[in-house]
Amino acid sequence: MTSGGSSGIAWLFSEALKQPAGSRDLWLAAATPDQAARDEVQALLRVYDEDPGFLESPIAAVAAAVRVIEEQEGSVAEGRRLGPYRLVREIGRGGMGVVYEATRDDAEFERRVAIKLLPATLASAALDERFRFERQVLAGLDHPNIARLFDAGSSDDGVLYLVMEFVDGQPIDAWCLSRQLTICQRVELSLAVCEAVAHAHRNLVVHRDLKPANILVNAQGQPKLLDFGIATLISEQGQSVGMTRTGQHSFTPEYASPEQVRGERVTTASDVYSLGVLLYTMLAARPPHALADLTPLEAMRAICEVDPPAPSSVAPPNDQGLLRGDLDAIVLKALRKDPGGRYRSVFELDGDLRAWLDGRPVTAGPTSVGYRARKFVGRHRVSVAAAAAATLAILGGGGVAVWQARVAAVQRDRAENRFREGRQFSRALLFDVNEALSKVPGNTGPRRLLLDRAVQFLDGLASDAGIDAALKLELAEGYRRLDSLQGDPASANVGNRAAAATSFEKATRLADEVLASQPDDLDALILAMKAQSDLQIASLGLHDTQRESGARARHRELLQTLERRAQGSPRVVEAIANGYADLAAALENSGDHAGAERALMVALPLLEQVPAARRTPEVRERHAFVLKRLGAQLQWLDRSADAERRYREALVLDEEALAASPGDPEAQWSVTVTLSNLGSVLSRLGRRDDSLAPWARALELRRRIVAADPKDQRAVEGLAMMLGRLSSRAYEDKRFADSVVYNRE
Amino acid sequence: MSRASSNDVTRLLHDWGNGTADALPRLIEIVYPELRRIAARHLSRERMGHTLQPTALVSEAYLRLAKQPAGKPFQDRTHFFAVAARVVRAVLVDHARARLASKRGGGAIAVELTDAVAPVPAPSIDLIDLHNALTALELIDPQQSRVVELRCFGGLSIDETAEVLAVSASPVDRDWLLAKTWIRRQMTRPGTST
Repeated sequence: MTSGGSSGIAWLFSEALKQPAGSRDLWLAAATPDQAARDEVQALLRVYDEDPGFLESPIAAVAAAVRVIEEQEGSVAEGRRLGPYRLVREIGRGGMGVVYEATRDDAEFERRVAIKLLPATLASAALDERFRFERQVLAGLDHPNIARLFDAGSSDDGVLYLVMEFVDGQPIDAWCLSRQLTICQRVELSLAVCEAVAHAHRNLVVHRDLKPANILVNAQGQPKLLDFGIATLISEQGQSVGMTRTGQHSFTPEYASPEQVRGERVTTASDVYSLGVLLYTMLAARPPHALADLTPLEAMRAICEVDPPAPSSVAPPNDQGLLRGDLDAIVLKALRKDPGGRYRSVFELDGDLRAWLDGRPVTAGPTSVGYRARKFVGRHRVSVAAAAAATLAILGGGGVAVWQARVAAVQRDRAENRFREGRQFSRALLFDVNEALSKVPGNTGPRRLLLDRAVQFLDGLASDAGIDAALKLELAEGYRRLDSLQGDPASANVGNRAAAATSFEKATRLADEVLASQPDDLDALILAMKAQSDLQIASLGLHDTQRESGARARHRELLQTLERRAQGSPRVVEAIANGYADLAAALENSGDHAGAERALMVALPLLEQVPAARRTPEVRERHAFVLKRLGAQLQWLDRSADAERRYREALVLDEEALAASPGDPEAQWSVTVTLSNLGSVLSRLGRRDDSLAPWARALELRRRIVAADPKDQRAVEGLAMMLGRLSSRAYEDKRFADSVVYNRE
Repeated sequence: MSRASSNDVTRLLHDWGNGTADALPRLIEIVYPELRRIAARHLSRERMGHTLQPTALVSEAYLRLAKQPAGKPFQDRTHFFAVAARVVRAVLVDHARARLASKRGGGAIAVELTDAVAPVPAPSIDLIDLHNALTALELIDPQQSRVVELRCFGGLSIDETAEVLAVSASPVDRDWLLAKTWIRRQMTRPGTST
């Protein structure tokens, strides 16, 4: 960690390099009187001389990137032999392997086949398994519209391969356009695809990647379904089993169902959805969602949330008339966001398409008397009167009411489903994704984007009337988490703080709404207090004293509500202690150290009284935290002796926690902070020698943290601070040698 | 999937040049798949024995994404190289990590470095170690860290690096020599490897 940043060193080093090797030391001695700098440059020169070409191939790393990509994509030379087959040319590649056109040129006959390879460079236990699985899946399928599996094997050098029917054809969407098929012909063509998928489903196979590129139409006009590379098996109940992990997220977004995009369980209903996208694209000559210009996140939203326009509204003008009505309804039913709202099987979809071709009523049609009547009239013009009479008879009496109730129930279920999905998604964004991202340095941009989206989601959910209390609290907690991220002091600007304050207020409002109907709800009280404390700190940052004092008053009011049930459970007591600690944090932030001390002195005895059985690590941590904050207030109030006592009490708890998990950097860090403060208090008390021991131990622990994780910026800075402190102390004490050692480090 | 229009890229490059923080992640989102695609296509055409010139790779990505009209300020292009360097680094490290994770039990990932001009077997280098050392350097001296990133992952010369960083060449040269030596020491130090 030696002065890499010093431009002086950089200059000395690069100039020294220009000198002949034998005279560098001499040159250095003349160039600078600083022995430390000379030592460092000489050390660096030795490192340099070991390998002057290090990193010098200027583009080496990019070449390496390319190599990594190459490794991942796999590469097998054309012209190579596999058993009786010779590879002719590559015709496709993906994460699951590379596909070649190949010939079997035995003496007897020549045959074109497609060979799918899993190159050795790509092979891993998981992919091997997936590859064998595809073989097993294909072996179980036998349908004229599914590319057949002929053979499988592995080469001498361990390359796994599948030999399949070679389909010389065009993707189905391109075929429709190039052959200028009529709408009826397109629907007929899609029936063959439905049959192939239905066949797979009957054999308990879900394809999961239905798209034009995987459905080729040959010269005879026969569509062939290819590539079961990410297929999965389903149980008899229709849920996917086995092989759900590998390849779970490899799909084609344009054709992926909402549940697939969300990484949820994939069933036959997902294939129904993808067939819906396929139909849409074939009929309207454009996909239901234009994802091309969207970011992944936006695309995900579009798939999960946005209802596509009816195919008839976007199709070429000549086709619009035929599409309007039943075909629109069929396609949109297949494309429902909620799997339960789609066709229950490909068989049903197939049935509706056939019904449309025959001019019979389709199940997806608007279920109105008028609709059924129109269809009926079309087919049996003669018996219209009888039919009308019969229909009216059915719908007389209670029939209508029952039907309406069913429609209402279906709509409610759908709304609930959508709500639940949105909630899961926003929770994932807020907590999982954000947490994962937070561990990677330098991505505040994407996190910002993520948070903005999460706010939109939460706003949308919160605006929904009639949500229950539990959900309101969950949303409130969501808002709270959100603003602690928005208001992150490390990256805060005023805009962020204002957004944070707004989110806190939203959290507060939701909690208050719950309290209005259930004034004693402990969860709501706790949450409301936390939000008020956060709001005070955020308002302070905005210099909004009015909002700050409002929040503080409300915070105290909530505390009093809790205290009125003081004989309550240990949970209530802990909640009160936490509430006072949070209040103290807000007071401390505003500079009211006496007030903060008073609040902490309410919290402290409550925490001390927590029965041993309930002294969880969280409680002990909270207890130590209160003691440390108390020590800090006492330092501010210049009551150093009291502060020392509190820090020593805190240190006991910190050391206990560290002893319980010695490798935990968080526990190590916690101890170092207390030690550092204790040392400062002791110096302040004039006990300079006593203060050296805690500082030295803090130094040692921080070195350990940094050694374990050199990227831990907090620890690096903390270490630097501790070194600086020890260095100036040594200087004051005239231990100059020590001072220099610390300083250099 | 995100086939961004050239307008987007140009605008984002401008935004980024003007200090808009959100522009970089958006750019990376656009550039990453494009670089991967171009590299993969080159690889399927040029087999073993041909090494793709990485600067050509980056240039092609730029041409495709920004469709630079004549007379466009050169600054966009240099900015783009800076983005590409960041992206290439991310691609590399992601893949190295993924491979590390897939090899149960782990072990360092050694990627062979080859010089595109002279196909001499170059020494292996541990990418994740390099990335970690670079990240550590970033804490101490962000400028030196950027110099290394641009040189190593963007394939830029000293002069081009200086242009991207809007400084003169000689401090860049000095920073480069010191930084790469510092990184080597960091990487060869016992017990620092991941």
